[in-house]
Amino acid sequence: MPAKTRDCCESDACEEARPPVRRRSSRGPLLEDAIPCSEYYPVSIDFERRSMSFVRIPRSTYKNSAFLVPRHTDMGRSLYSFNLDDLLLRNMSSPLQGARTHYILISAFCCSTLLARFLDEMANCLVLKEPALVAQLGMLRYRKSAMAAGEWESEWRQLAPVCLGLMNRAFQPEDIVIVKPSDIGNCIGDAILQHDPRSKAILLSVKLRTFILSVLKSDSRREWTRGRARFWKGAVDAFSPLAHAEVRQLDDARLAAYIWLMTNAFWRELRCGAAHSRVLELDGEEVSDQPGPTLERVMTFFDIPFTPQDVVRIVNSAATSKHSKHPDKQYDAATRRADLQDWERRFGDQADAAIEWASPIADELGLNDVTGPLAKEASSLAAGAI
Amino acid sequence: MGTPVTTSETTRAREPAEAEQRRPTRLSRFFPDVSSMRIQFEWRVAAMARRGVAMFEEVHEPGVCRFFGAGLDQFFTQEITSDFLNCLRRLGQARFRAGHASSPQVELYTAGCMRGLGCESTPARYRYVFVLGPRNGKSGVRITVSPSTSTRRFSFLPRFGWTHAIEACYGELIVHDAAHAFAVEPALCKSDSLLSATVLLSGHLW
Repeated sequence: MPAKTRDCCESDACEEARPPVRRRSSRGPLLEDAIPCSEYYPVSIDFERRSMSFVRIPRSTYKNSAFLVPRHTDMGRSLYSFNLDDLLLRNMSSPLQGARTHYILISAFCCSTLLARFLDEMANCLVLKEPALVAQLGMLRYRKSAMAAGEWESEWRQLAPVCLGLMNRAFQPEDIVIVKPSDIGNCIGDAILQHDPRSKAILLSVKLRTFILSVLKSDSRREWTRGRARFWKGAVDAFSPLAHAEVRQLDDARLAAYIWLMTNAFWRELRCGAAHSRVLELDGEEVSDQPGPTLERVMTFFDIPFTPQDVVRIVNSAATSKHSKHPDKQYDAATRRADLQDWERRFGDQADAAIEWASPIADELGLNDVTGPLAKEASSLAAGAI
Repeated sequence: MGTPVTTSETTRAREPAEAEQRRPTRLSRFFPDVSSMRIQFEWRVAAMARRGVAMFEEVHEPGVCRFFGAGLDQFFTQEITSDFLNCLRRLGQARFRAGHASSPQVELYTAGCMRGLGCESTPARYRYVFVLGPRNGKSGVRITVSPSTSTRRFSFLPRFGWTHAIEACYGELIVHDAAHAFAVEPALCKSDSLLSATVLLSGHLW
């Protein structure tokens, strides 16, 4: 502190000061005010510094954003950081009781943003698209820690209810929250379903071939895939057939297959686990090809009250004719089908080779023992149909 | 990390071994930046007093307690707060296998303030108290720790078993079992000046 500080403190004015009786938060909200309020949206955990940071955003930002992360969305200039231990202690004393919250777990490139945009059109749905906190929670689960594995798992198990509790907050009491995490969220599916027995999860993916073609179509997606494969390889050794894969030697098509298999390995535990009745598998192609029936199926599964008119209104809304992540671009199901044919023509051979590589791994992971769009793919693999 | 201080502590125990086990932990040189922290406190108090801005909330229940409370971030920079909490976590991990530290509340006791013997309801295992003032007082604040499940409302009733009465001084940290009752008698002070008041930072470890 500068010398001037001392002068101030030794002044008469200071000595004459009497304790006032009102608390005022000069640098941001109080924890007790921020935590129950959806306007305070958590954006990051700094585990080393033991802090969690929030921004303040209105409901419209939730709706308009395709990615609820500061890198993609204007979330204002103020960041409010809290001691992570204060949040943990608060949650131990009085766990966050929030709205009914459901999750859409995704494989990536599976029309999930389109489905989220559809649900955004329902007045009683608060949709969180790719919240950073859920992804961070997933990454932290596999953090290389100085702690013993059991100790870290115990620490993570304290952190998870706080993060997931913050996802349960809504603006109105009648709101139903739909969280669509990025694909990293797949590794915490078990924690999501354990956290709140009311929660359900949709596993949204596309067939392996479509996934590979969707990756190969652009350089940015290829780059994303390489990074993701490196992350999963470094983080997870729980699935032995995948643990043996040398990702550095794989081409982009095989890396795409590797990620698709990783996703399905996580999902297999949800399909077979105790909470399997709260899990629904959905093919992403159906979201764009048959939006009406698919939306009805999703809302019925999530117990979202709706009328046939709601479905018609949503299917005829701008969401169907515009690109989900870039709403200024026209994009519809017909355009997507044409794109797929184009990708098939350009990258079909690479996709064939990658599927051949993935086939025995899918067998080892037991993916052909289950039903659903991904399982159909795995069954086809096993039968050599592709 | 400081060394335990045992002076000016009185212990009455039916079972000395048990009392010893439950004795609050005292560290006289726990936080190396205590002077900076105190200066930040004084600076903020002076600045807010000049502007006439209220900082404290009075907590007053007749016969039970009367003191003034405030949040930490009104007085201290994020850096020193973070250092303080990290010191607590390191201590907690090393001494109590408790690596989590909640942010303390700032408690201010002027003439006529006190806190009767009673427990707090918390899931945390330990409670800590750090003495940030008065800076120059020869005899510091008296903190009493006793096994109890009663509330402060019945603090006038006679107590049984051991009791630790600690004369804590500026810069000292006390850690005790959060299930135990505690009381605060501030240093004798006829003034209600903020700078000669007893200032405690109290929070939890687990």
